[in-house]
This record gives sequence, structure tokens and C-alpha cells, in this order.
Amino acid sequence: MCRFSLIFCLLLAAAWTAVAAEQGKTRTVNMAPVAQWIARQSELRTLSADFVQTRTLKTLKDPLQSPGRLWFQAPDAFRWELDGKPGEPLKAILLRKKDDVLLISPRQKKATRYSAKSIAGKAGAPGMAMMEFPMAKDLNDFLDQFDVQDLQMTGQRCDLAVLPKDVATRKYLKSLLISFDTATGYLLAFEMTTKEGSTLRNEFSNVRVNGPVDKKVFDFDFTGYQVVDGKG
Amino acid sequence: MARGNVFARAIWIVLALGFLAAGLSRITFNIDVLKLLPTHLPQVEGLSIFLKHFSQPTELIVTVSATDAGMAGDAALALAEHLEKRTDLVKRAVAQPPWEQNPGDMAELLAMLTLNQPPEAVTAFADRLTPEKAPETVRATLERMDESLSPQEVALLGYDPLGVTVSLADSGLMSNAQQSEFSAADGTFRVIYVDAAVPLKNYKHTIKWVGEIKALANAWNSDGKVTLGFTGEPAFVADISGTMEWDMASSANVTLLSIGVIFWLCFRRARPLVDLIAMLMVTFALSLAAAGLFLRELTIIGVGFASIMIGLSVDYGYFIYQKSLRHTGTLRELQRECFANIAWTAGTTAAAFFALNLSSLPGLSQLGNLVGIGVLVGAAVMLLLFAPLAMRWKKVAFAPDAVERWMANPKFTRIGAWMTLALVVILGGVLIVRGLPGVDVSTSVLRPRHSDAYDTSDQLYAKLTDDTNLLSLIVTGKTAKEVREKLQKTEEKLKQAESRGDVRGFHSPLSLWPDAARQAANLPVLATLAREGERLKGTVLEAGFTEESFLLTDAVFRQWIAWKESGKQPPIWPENEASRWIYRRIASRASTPDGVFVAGGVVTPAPERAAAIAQEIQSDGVWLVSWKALGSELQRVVPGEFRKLILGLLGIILALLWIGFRSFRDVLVLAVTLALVGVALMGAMRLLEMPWNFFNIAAILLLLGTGVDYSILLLLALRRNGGDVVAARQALGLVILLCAGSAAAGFGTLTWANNRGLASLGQTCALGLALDAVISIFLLPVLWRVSRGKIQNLK
Repeated sequence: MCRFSLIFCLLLAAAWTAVAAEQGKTRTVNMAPVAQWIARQSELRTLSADFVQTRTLKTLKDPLQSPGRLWFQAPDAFRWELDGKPGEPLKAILLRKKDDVLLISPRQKKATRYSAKSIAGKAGAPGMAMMEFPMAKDLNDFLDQFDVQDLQMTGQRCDLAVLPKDVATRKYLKSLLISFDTATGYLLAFEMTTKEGSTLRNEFSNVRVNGPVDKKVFDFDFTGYQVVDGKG
Repeated sequence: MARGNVFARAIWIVLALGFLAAGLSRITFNIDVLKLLPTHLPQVEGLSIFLKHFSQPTELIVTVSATDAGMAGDAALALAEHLEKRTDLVKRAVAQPPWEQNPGDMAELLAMLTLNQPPEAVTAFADRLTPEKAPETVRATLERMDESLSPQEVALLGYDPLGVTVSLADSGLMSNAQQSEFSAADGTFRVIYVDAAVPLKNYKHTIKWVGEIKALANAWNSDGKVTLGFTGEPAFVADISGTMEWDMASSANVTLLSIGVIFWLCFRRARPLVDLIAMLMVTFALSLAAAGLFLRELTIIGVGFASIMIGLSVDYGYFIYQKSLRHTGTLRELQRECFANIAWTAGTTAAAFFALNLSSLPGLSQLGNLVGIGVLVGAAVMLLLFAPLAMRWKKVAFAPDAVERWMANPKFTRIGAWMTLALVVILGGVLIVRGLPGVDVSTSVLRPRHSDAYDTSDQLYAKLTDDTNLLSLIVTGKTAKEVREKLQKTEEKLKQAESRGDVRGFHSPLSLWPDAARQAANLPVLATLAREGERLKGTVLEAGFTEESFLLTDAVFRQWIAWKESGKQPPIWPENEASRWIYRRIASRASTPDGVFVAGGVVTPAPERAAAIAQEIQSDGVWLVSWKALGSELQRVVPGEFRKLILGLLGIILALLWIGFRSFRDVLVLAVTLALVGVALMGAMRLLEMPWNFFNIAAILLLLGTGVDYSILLLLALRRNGGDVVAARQALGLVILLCAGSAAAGFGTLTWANNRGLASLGQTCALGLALDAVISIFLLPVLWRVSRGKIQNLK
């Protein structure tokens, strides 16, 4: 018996506020745009985009905002980075190459290495869903992974609210919002809302699909860095 | 005089009834399988300590399975709520970690973990929160929140702007495992911990309570939307004690019935049969009462004594009855005539069973003691109570019965000898072609054949753990300090093993175990810091945090102040409900009569390294244990001990035979007979796919002790009758068949025993005794003649 598996005690101790039980809403929605979006993802070979990350926390008076960029190259190369203040190094970099996932803190000159397999399915993994293209093989695969809570169409923009079926994630996640352009299939925004009311939102812009991506972007020089293995 | 006799009898009856009442009222069943195993083995010792200190005797575990995670989760919560309504039965039913309902409860544990840190770390922590440095510390937290890619870390930092939870990083509480003790990783399997409203006094009370909870839960689940399972200590007690009671009663009754059938077939008389059965029941009651007085707790194997003892004690009844048929003298003369034979036979049989004390298995020792006592009680009951009854029966003219007539028939005995020889050759052939019987060294033999509690426990283990090779770390000491010191040394060893690749990971309770010295040094520092809570809160709010962000820190601060003001002396343990829940399988604090402190942890060894690591870590008061490792240890130790025991007993028997017979040829005949029985038994076991295990290996001892009697009796009869095989067979064939039939029936009824070990012991003994009887009756006389003939030819 894994008696020490108390991650949620910490989360909830930290969360502090009473957690309202939220049942997934079941509603008939037209899933055609989602199917179309997933189908377009399978055509994806490269992707690059700018984004603005906004963290809204109940414990903070004002949201935390950081701009950043991401790159993806099929099948499994990914880089995501948060800009630092002008003149300062990047705040954070998440780099994936094959099964290696590195969380890099340039300011602290430190990197933690994980196995993509070991962190898949761990609590918080939905945050890593951005690394996966396509997010699902097809609509059925998508529905195997997520319960659809809501789907709103505004012109070409589709706002899809889902909740992962993964039990551990559901314990703290209230919803996952994926916004995309139905015409281009481009991801427009990605937002996680926790049960205690905090949100993490990424608004994407300047999206470039299947354009050239410099392979060097997925390399990183760790000279002077302390690289440790993280316990997935 | 007559009045005096009546008075004396009345006193005897009162004494006997008092003895029965005192003994029988004290009988309880002990379901702990470890009680059956050698206590000197480290695995047995460690597991016993683990069960003694960390098993929850009033906690029933209810499992809820469904195809859908949501359904299982909702059902578990609803069922827990439903059970808690029955306040007369349930103290609490917990379906989710207590801190999820009351997150505030975790503050106490966090306060203790920081209190437990090295003083230099605490001083550094306090230094970061001085009026000059606190704003920078809070700013750093804010930056970390901005940078972090982990939603968990961001959430945690939001509620910990001053960093009081830094101590958690090395506490082992940050494991990312998806499963918990409440849910499998996929959520389709949930667990509810149901605590009894009142202490469960004994096994009958436990059976009743478990039955009521099961009925309540099953009624709630009448539509069958989820699948329920029940396990945990009370479920084991209910399951196994119930079947132990049934095993004992059913095997004893079936043995009595078998004896009745055998007696009826041979003698066709009802009244002596009724009296004989009554005497066997008296013997059983007296033996059980004696067990109650001297042993108190019957083990799973010990309950098998009833049928074996009845099957053996009846022999003395047969003997007295046979004698009484021809007896023309007084009761005293009959008793005197029978005494020597019965004393000799009962003495040697009891000695054989008492010899089981030489085995390293306490379960077998208890069985041996119980049967030994029972056989002696049986001999006394038959001589003192059954003999007077036998004298009252109407004497019938003695006439050779069917069995005796067959034994006198040369054609029958010749066919019997050839058939027995063919049987031995066939079984020997099986042995040559298919090899020796297998050896089952797994601990499955300790388990009951049918037990929902065990099945559910297996399912629970499979669903809630990542690795089936987990080892439990057990550390004991007379003081908390001693345990802590041992934990430190053990953790060092485990770290080395981890770096070598022998260990994949471990969770030591060291960080959760109070360090009195550190606590004494840290408490004044932390309490002083906590009294500056308002200043620090102001700093936090100024940096952009909300009031809510300070709630956790404030609760931790209040705890430090409370401990300081209460004057509590270290070691300080967290005491609230959430902490007790976490600590219930991590720390046992001298609450048991032995007054020891016990710490529990978990180690995941690398494949095939479990035994080596267990051996390396094991030291005074430190064990790494698991049921799998126990099986390996038993495999290593027990067969060797049995080998020595069997060879020793064989040597003693052969020496006694030499002293008794003073004839090399006779001892050789007996040795060859024993060898033939051994070959036939092993061949039959191979044919029937019956492997040797820790328990049925004792059958060899019992066969050496009791089965050899048949050969000895026949050999003596041959010598008495000047080598007249027909006369010897006529005199003893019936007795041997009756005795072997009854004893085999007694052992054979254990075949249905719920405990696999006991059942296998019963099967093996029944098979061995039957083969022993047949080989003794039909082949031993042939061997005896051959030995004589060969010697004569040589001369």
C-alpha cells in the first residue's frame, strides 16, 4: 500500500479553501469541429507560436503574466520557454526530445530531467498536454481521454471545455479549456482551472504551421548547469 | 460404603465438569499464520512485529469496484455515509483522506516536520524571515511561482509565501504516485476503512460484527451497480475462525461416522458402538478442555488434532472390546490385561506426536502436543470408562469374522501379496519415470483454500501498489531515540544500496520520526518567529498576496506557539486525526504491552535483489520483510531442519528396534518395509500431483511414529507364532485394518480442511497409513520368510 502517496494532501492543504464537488456535465454537443481539428493535427509536422501565459491565483491579488514561445517538430521534439524581464535570462524552459523531458531554470543554472513516459499521467500532466501533437489519434481516442463539458462556437473560434478522465488529475482540476480556429486548426488558447479557483492560461499568437523550424532550437547547451534526474 | 462411592463419583463428576467448563471457555482461535512458523527466522519475527503493531483489529476494509471511476468514487462516498449512520456498529467510515475534509488538520504535521529539521536549517529559515530579509524571501516565492512549470508547485507556493513547507521535500510525502490507500490509479477501485463502534471482544463477536456490516453494505448495493469486497483484520478473523470451527467440528464428526461404519461392518453390534462413540466424544471434550487450559489459542493447524486424536484413540477401544469378547474374568483383570498393551501403544504414539516439538514449526508442535495429550486422555478414558461398559455387554460366542477368515485363506493372502507388490512396483515406476513429488515452498500453503478476505486482500494489494516485490521496513527500539538512530543508519544503507542499483526506491519514516534534540533546539526559535506573525503577514500582503495565502502559515505558527506554551517536552508527536491517520502505519508508540516503539517504511528492491537486501539491512531491531521473502526463507531453512529431524527419528527407531528385536534380519525386514512404504507413498503423491510442503513433510514423522506400529505388531506376531504367517495375520489382520482404517479416516477428513497445509498433512498421512497397513499385512510376512530363507540357504 502506498502509504506515502500524499500529494493531494499537500495540494489540498495548500488549497485550503473548501473544494466544491463538481460533477461533469453531460450535454449533447456537436463534436464535428473537434473531429475536424484533431484530423488537422495529424497533418502537423512543425509548429511555432508566441504566447502570453497568465496565472490567476486566489492567493495573489494580481495575475502573473509572462510572454513566451513554443516550437514543435513531429514526432516528439518540443520547446516551450518563458521570457524573463528585459536584459535577464529566460525564466524557464521546457524541452522535450524523444523520451527526455528537461525542466530548465536558466536563472538558477539548473535542469531536471524526467522521462516523458514517467510523467505522463502524473498529477499536473494536463499542463504537459501542450507537448503532445496530435493530442489524440482521432475523436474516439480524444473522448477516451476527456469528458467534454462544453463546446461554444464564435465564428471560426471553437472553445472546448473538457475534463481529463484521469482520476488523479480530476481531483484538483476543474476544467481544461482548449480554444482553436476551426478553419486553420490553430490552437488559440489553452487554460486550466483548478478546483480551488486558480487558472493558468496560455494565449497563442503568430502561429506558424508546417513552416521551417531550426533544429538547433531543440538543442540546449548545459555547460555550467547542474542537471539532476527528477523522480517521476 | 455405597454412599461413599456415590459421593466420590459425584466429586469426580463435578471436578470433570469444572475442568471442562474452565478449559472450553478459554479456547480461542488464533488465525495468525505466523504462529505456525519458526519464530527464530528473521522474516517471521519481522512480519510478526509488523502485524502486531500495524494491523488494525477493529478496521474492516471495504472495497468498491466499478467499471467507471466516477461511479466507483461516488459509490464509495455514499456507502461510507450510509455505514456511518449506524452509530451502534460504526465509529467512522473513511473513504477519502481525512485532510481532504479538513485541510486545516495538516498544519500540525507541517509544524512538526519543520520542528524536526536540523537546527541550522531552522536558524537559516528564521534568518530569511527577519524584517530586513522577509520582503526578499516573499519576492523570491513570487518569482518561483511565475517561473514554475508545475501546477502543483505553483498552488503550494501560493499558500506558503514564507516557505514553511520546505521541510516537506524530504519527508517522502511528495510522492507523485497516482494511487493512494483510497483509490487505484484508474479510480475504478476504491477503498473504505470502517472502524467498529466498540472493541471486538472475541472471534464470535467479530464474526457477528463483520456479518452485520456485510449485510448492511450488500443491502445498500442490492441493485449490484458496484462490486463490494471485504478484507482487513476483522474480515480475516471472521473468515478463518469460522472455517476453523467448521473444520474441527466437521472433521471430528466425519471421523466418528467413519469409525461407526468400520465398527459396524466388523462387529455388527449397535450398543458397544454407541458407547464407543460416546467415549470418543468424552475424550475429545477433555482433550479440548486441556488444550484450553494449557494452550488457550488453537492455531489453524492445531484444530486438526480432533479428528487425528479420535482416529488414534479409538484403537484402544477396539482393543478393549476385542479382549472383552473373550474375557471371562473380572473388570480389574480385563483392565490389567489391556493396560500394558495400551500403555505401550499410546505411549509410543504420543511420543511420536510429542516429537513434533522438535520441528521448528510451532503450528506442528501444537498439533503434536494436542494429539499427544488426546491420545493419552483417550487411553485413560477407554481403560477407566469404556472397559466397565464393555464388561456389561452381552457376551457373544466368539467366531472368526469375515476379515479373519480372509486372512486365513492362503489364496486371498497370495492374491493380496501380489496385488500389493504390483501396487508398489507401479508406484515405484511412477517415481522413476516422473521423478520425485514436487516441492511447494510458497507461503500459499499457509493460506485458507477459500477466503473472500484473502482474495480481496490480494486484489487490494494488486490495485494499490506499483510493485508486487515491495518489502516492509520494520525498525524497533525501546525508545523513540533508539528507533530514530536505527532509522538513520538504515537510511544510509538504503541510500548506498540505491546507488548500487540494488534498491529502486524507498520511503523511510525518518523525517516523520520525532528528533527530541532537534525539537528542543528548534521550538524556541520557531515559537519566537511565530510571535512575529502579524509583521510577516503584512510583508506577504504587501508583496501582492491575498489574506488567504497566509492561512496555512498562520495555522503552523499557532501550532508552534501552542507547543511552546503548553510546556510539552520533546519528542513531540502530531496528535490530531489527520496525523493519526498518516502515522497509524508508520509509527507505533509503545502502546502495546511489550512497550516498544516501531517504525514502518517501504523499500522497492531491484528485481531478484530482495533476499540479498533483506539480509543486508537486517540487524538488531531492523527487518526488511514480505510474504514473498518469507517463502524464500522457509525454503532455505525448513527442509534442512526436517531432513535432520527425519533422519534422527529414523535412527532412533532403528536403534529401538535393534534393542527390542536383537535381530539384524528383523530390523532389516522392518527397514525394507519402511522403504517400500516410502517409495509407494512418494509414487502415489507424484501420481496425484501432491507436492511436499512445510506441513505435509511432517507426515513422514507421523508415519515413522505411528505407521511403523503395524509392522512391529505383525513382526511380533510372526515371532510369537513361530513364523506361522496365517496365524499372525489371523490374530492381527483385523486389528491393523481397524486401526489403520480409523486413523486414515481421521487424517483423511482433514482433506476438506480449509487450511491448505492442514489438508495436505491429512491427505498425506491418510495415504501413508493406508499404504503402510496394506504393505505390512501382505508384504512384510513375505519379506520375513524371504529373509529367513536366504539366511538358511546361506547357511
